[in-house]
Amino acid sequence: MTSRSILLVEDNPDDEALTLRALKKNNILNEVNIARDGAEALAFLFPDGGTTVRLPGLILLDLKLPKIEGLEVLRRIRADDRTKIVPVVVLTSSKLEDDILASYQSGANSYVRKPVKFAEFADAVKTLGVFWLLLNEPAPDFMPASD
Amino acid sequence: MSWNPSAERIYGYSAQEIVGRPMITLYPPDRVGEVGKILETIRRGERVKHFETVRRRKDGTTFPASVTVSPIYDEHGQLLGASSIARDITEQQELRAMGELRRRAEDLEQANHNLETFTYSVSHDLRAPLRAMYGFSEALLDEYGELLGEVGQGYAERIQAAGDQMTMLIDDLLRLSRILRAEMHLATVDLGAEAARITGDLQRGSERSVRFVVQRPVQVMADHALIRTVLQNLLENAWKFTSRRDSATIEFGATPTEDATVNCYVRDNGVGFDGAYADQLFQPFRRLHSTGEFPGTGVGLASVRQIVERHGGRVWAEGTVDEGATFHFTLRAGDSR
Repeated sequence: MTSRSILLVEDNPDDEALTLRALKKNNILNEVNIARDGAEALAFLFPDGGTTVRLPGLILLDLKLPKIEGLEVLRRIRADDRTKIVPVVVLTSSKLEDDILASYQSGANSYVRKPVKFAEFADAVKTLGVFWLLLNEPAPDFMPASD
Repeated sequence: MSWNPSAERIYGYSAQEIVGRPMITLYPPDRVGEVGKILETIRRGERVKHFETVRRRKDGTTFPASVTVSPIYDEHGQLLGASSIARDITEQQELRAMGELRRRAEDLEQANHNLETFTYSVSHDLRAPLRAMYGFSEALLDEYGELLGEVGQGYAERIQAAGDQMTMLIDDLLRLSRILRAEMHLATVDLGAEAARITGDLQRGSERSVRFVVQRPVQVMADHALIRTVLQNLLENAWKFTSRRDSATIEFGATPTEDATVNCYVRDNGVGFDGAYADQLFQPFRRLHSTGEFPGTGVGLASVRQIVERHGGRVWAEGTVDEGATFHFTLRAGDSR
């Protein structure tokens, strides 16, 4: 599990630190890039406004984000043919049905509610990492960025 | 007195029938007192404008009216009499009432919306700091446990225990707000069968031997899911507060009343409570025992009261320290078959 990178879109520094710790605890040593709001996430994916793209192997996306909401980030990822195929996991505190439905309708690959307790949180991160970065076969011609 | 066709239409009297009869013919008995005040105003040379009152038709029925009375003078400025124009404002009043209803519906919708926003913020925003409390105290124990020593580890564990308490509070608050919002679907429910199911679950998950006495059937009119929450809360409380009894007994039953209500009760022989504080029990977050003694948030009984009151019933409690407690609630009787 080393080649594909992870883009973590998370505005809460505590959750960021805990997610990184959970990844490390589970020996998921892939490169992690962090975006702290929706605008940063889009700037990472489309560094020059759309001419080129950076493709992470997995995007962990929070919904409630400053500047550009998570759902809007997701829609823009799905609107571009190149980023369309990147697996996006919505990782959020909300379990509102509306949020879950809207996430799937906007093209999320899965929706995971951040558990409150660390042990469960670490388990969730591990399962996600194993599935999306190891087990799951990415789309053909999918060449994740390695910068 | 002159009488025009529109007056005839409103009151049902023809001109022949009414001219010459006293003004109070058109007044319902409880409005007769208005005559004096209206005449006084006219004598002062002033008008009574759009005065909202009630008038009586020929057939004895009444209608809401807007009355305007103006003084009439002769060419010398002498007061001759008064002209009175009454309008039937039934329709306006209905419209006004409908407007009021609509405003209330809008207010209610707004309140519901606020409640939803609140629920969202409770479930989302309050959990984030909680995750940090758990996560970092766990990290402290995990990575710096030895440095912390026994006392330091105890502190970190206290943070986690406080997190557990807060998790319970958040869950209970969410449950309470769901109860407030839930739509009610009334049907006949056998509370005895529900109580048997709940006590069966309690018994299965435990080594304790508790004697359950459950009356069946107890048919009431209630929303199934909501009333189940009531029983669950009361029976789990009884279970909790009898945990130190060697021979605990928990009863559920009902006594029929003369009218169509059923008086239900859950009784236990647990630690009980001081009857002087019985009212406080049903207030959110009020507890008569410390969390160290018995865990809890103080939301359960508040939920019980909310639900029973939404069903139009009443709750009350009786208790004696060290002898036990009885919780009563009333509901409408169901169809018994």
